[in-house]
Amino acid sequence: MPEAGLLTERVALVVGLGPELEASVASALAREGARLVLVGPRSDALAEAVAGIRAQGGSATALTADLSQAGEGRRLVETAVQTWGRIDALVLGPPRGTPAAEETAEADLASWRRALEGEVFEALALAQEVARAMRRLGSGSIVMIGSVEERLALEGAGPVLLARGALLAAARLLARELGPHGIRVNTVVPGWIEGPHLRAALEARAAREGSAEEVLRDRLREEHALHRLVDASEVADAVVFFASDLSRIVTGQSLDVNCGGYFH
Amino acid sequence: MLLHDRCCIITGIGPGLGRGMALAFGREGANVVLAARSAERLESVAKEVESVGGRAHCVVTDVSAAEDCDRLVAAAQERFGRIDVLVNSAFTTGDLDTPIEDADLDADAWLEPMRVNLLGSLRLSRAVIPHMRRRSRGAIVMINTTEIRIPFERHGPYVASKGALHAATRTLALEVGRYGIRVNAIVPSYIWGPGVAAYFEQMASEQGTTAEALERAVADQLPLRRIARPEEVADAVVFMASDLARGITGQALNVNCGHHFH
Repeated sequence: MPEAGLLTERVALVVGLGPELEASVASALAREGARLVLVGPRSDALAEAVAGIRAQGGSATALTADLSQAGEGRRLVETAVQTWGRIDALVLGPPRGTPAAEETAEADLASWRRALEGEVFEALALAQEVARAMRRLGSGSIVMIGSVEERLALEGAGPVLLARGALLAAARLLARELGPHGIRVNTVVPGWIEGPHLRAALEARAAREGSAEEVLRDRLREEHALHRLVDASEVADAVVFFASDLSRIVTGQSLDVNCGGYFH
Repeated sequence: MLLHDRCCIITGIGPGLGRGMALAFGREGANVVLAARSAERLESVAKEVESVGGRAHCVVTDVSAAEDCDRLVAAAQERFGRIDVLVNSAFTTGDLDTPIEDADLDADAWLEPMRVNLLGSLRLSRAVIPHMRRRSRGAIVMINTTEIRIPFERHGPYVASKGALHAATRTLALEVGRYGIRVNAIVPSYIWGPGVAAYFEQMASEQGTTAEALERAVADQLPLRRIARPEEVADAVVFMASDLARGITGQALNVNCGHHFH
């Protein structure tokens, strides 16, 4: 008899995780028995992701959405509830806007304002809709994905960093307000994950410093307590923890999954 | 099962969190090595661990005694052939009425929490590291306290020892990460058990109210509106000890019904 998973029969809405994390998080949630609603802007990418989950024996549906449109959050939640009857978990990816080239003290704040407002309020609007559905259920877990750029205040991150910081604060406020309704809100903060984002960052730095990308990568690994970079599947398993009952008394917290790249 | 066949040493087996962790680990398939000063307590928890399908081995231990620590680790290795997890949960609060201004810093009130909470945990960690290094894997979990973030007055000896443990947890994580060993902390606040019950009784009599009213008042301040039960904290320890947390080291996770955020 197969062992019951940590998320058997739970319904998870997975939104905006991006190329580094999406497949791993979806796969880990499905492995633990969750039924998934994958949300993204491109139907072809979503179809591929859903096929991957079904191939591993999981249940998933796809919803194409443009969260910058008013009312999209409500439509998503209504569709998810119609399909599966409930939403137990929301996994919400980080704002992904273009980093700013200019220093904060000299920045064109009008462009920062647009970037910040867009991503933060899209995420909050979706969280509001999901929270309403979870309140009706009397339980739920919202898992946000934080970022190493925000934790370390890395230069050049600009409005993206501000947006991520704003959502970290929002997660805590939501945790305080939604706790009495049985809803938990936590943040998983991944370190540097192998993938296009890290590759681009290392390439840029290698070009700037006239060094080899592989040398920089080795140095970065050595700076981690575990002497390696975190793998997307490891971040995914922390998401599983927060979505599951193992963390049923954990709320308002952030947990860094970074192989000891830094300690929070 | 998250800890199937893993050999897990848990110190500080008492009626509250220690017992809760032993049972949670047993349920997840662990071979649990139980350590505390009371043989009687150990035997009764061991029976419960076996009743939920785990295997248990008891070793009477005073973690402030170096020879006891070595004996505990040797017994675990001998009985189960490996050591996968160490949970440092044994603690003493020391004298909780010790204002720093008036304190005799050389008195036992200061030294005892240091000996048990800090040095006991480090001594045991040191003793398991060679066993974990041989297999290039292992997880050490320190049970810390909310007082490292929100201290109480007059708790200086306890807070100092736990704060030092918090700092040392990170240093140890840096030092042993290269061997595949992870070191993290779980940071609970109120946990239901005889200790908290006695605290509520005492506070209630001082304030002329009932323990139940006080408990309700405390719970109402918490976002989740309740006080953690030992088995609920234990499940977060299971996570940190398991492969689900294989990318996590040097962190300290609050497990506290939202008592405060970190």
